[in-house]
Amino acid sequence: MKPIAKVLVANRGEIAVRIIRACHEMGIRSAAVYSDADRDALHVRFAHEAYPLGAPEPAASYLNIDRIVEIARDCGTQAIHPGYGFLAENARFARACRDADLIFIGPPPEALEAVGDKVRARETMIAAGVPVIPGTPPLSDDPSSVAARAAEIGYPVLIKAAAGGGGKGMRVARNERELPALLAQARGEARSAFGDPTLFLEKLIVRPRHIEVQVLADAHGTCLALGERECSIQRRHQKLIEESPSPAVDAQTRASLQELALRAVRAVGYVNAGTVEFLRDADGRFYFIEVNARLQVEHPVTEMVTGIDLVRSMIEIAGGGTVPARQEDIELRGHAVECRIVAEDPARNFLPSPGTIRGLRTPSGPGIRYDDGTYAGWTVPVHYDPMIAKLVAWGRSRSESISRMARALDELRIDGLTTSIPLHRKVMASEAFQRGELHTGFLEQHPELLVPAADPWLDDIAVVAAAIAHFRRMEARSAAGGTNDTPGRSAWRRGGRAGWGG
Amino acid sequence: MKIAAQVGPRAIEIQVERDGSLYVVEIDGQSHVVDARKLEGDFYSLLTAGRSYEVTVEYRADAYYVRHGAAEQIVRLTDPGRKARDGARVSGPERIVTLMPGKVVRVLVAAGETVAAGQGVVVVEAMKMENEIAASRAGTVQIVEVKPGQSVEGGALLAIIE
Repeated sequence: MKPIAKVLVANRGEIAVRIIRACHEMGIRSAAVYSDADRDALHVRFAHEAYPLGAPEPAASYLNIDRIVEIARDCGTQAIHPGYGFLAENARFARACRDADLIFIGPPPEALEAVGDKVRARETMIAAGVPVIPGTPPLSDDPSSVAARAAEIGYPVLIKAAAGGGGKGMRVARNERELPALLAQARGEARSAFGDPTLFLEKLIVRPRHIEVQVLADAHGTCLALGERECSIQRRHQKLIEESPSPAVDAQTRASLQELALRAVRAVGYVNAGTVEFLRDADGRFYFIEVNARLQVEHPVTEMVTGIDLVRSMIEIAGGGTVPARQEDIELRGHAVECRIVAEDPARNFLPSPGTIRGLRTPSGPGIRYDDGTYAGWTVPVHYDPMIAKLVAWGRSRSESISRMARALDELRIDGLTTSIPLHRKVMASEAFQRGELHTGFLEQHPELLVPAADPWLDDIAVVAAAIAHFRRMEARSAAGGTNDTPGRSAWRRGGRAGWGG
Repeated sequence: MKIAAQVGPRAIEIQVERDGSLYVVEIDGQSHVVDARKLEGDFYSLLTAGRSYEVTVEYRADAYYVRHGAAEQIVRLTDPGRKARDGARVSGPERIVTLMPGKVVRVLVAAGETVAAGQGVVVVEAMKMENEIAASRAGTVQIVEVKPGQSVEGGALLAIIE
């Protein structure tokens, strides 16, 4: 196998920056691609090379397989890293890379197909002895047969997209009455997100914890399990806060969970980095949900507690190398927590809030890692995911990492956008979170966390600050001639502007 | 300079004067001497009575959003005319707008149709997220201003309900 000297990163935002960083640490040249909306993006600035994809719409840019493969061949790269989202789990893309003699840094297309179709993955897991959640085969378009199947499983039922992931095309139906409308929504979202409207139903596990196992497998037959992550703090079925290890998993549970995860990836001939996701019910039973056949957003918490660079490992494995350690040498040191900083307004049902970052201060100091793809002056485009950064804190214990996270969130300021920072800060301070009483409905159960706090001590100082800001604004306005300032000067300025032709 | 403001339900009279780099801010008769510096972005460093406060202040639609960590306080400027204007808008047609810029993916109603309070009117997609914008009260759709596939700015008018 030829050595990897250049990697094309077929992604954008913070994950493209993350992959470029690994390349540069490994002495590998990096090539970025970008849509018209991302010409000024940080990943373009960081990379050694950058090539335009075209129009901002994902279908025309970051999902454009032919264009990306063409760029890769023209720029002489040996390998493509797809990041997460976009083409990361697209078997057709992995195959197009193979056909073009390019290394796809991820699992082989056969494994992507085996886990990408959730219905098929489920059958494979049942055969491999991995426990799954009761559910249905793909649904027909006939509403009455769908209703019958839902009744069979028992409400509440979860509507899921067969080709989906990341919460897209997913809905909860609590009764037969609301089923038709939710099916239509899910179908529409699945079609636009994955190009495939196929849906299926699943029994909804009440008060579940989302716990997943990170695996690394090489082409020589060695599979490693790198402990678990808990990702129970979610909105719209999408993760918002993740941690490793999980407060609900002890050493014995970890060993059996890792065994299940390894059984799952071996059953599909998996190679490279992947994640086996489970739900844990209130009685401590684990159910397989899916294999995420890619690098996860939340991979940094695993990196923090294992010391293993997952992106580097992915590139090494793709180049024919081996996994970076032996299973018996994997040790989870301390605890790490990650907050996904999203440009959304938690107080308004997480309404996306794209815009321009006017001011930015990133946190640092002991135990802090900040992965982002932004800078002051950058306009967050409306076309892509609202996640703009990931803040990760490590501590020797869970309480230490949480207090570090709280401190770092206080330091972090992103001006100009509404973000999830205040929500994260309140979650870190919440007793339920600190006690580790987590489940995927945590935020619905604690709606008070969604609204920014109005601390009493801030009252007076806020009025003082607002009054001074207002005073300065009025002062600046009158200095600029906007109000009834010295008339002569203002007139001269207006005249000057007109003279320059505007 | 005299400012009338409101924090939550509390109405406040403020008097601000500048004395070199110091500001004297009088809130409801109580005086604060503040060494205030505007720093990068929206940052202000405020030193008063030996205490150091770092806050950001953002001005948006007649209100100052003051933030410190997870805490946020909204200080609204008030003037006597505003209440009367707000009061006048309770009845009359409802303008349905999108707060979020994005693309119209579905239009759920047509002109002339009656809608119930809370009924979805238009679905706008941004950042891969579909957001259904609903009527806040019952009525008849007068006009639908957008078509599927159309891009809309934040604040754009989607429909009018009478």
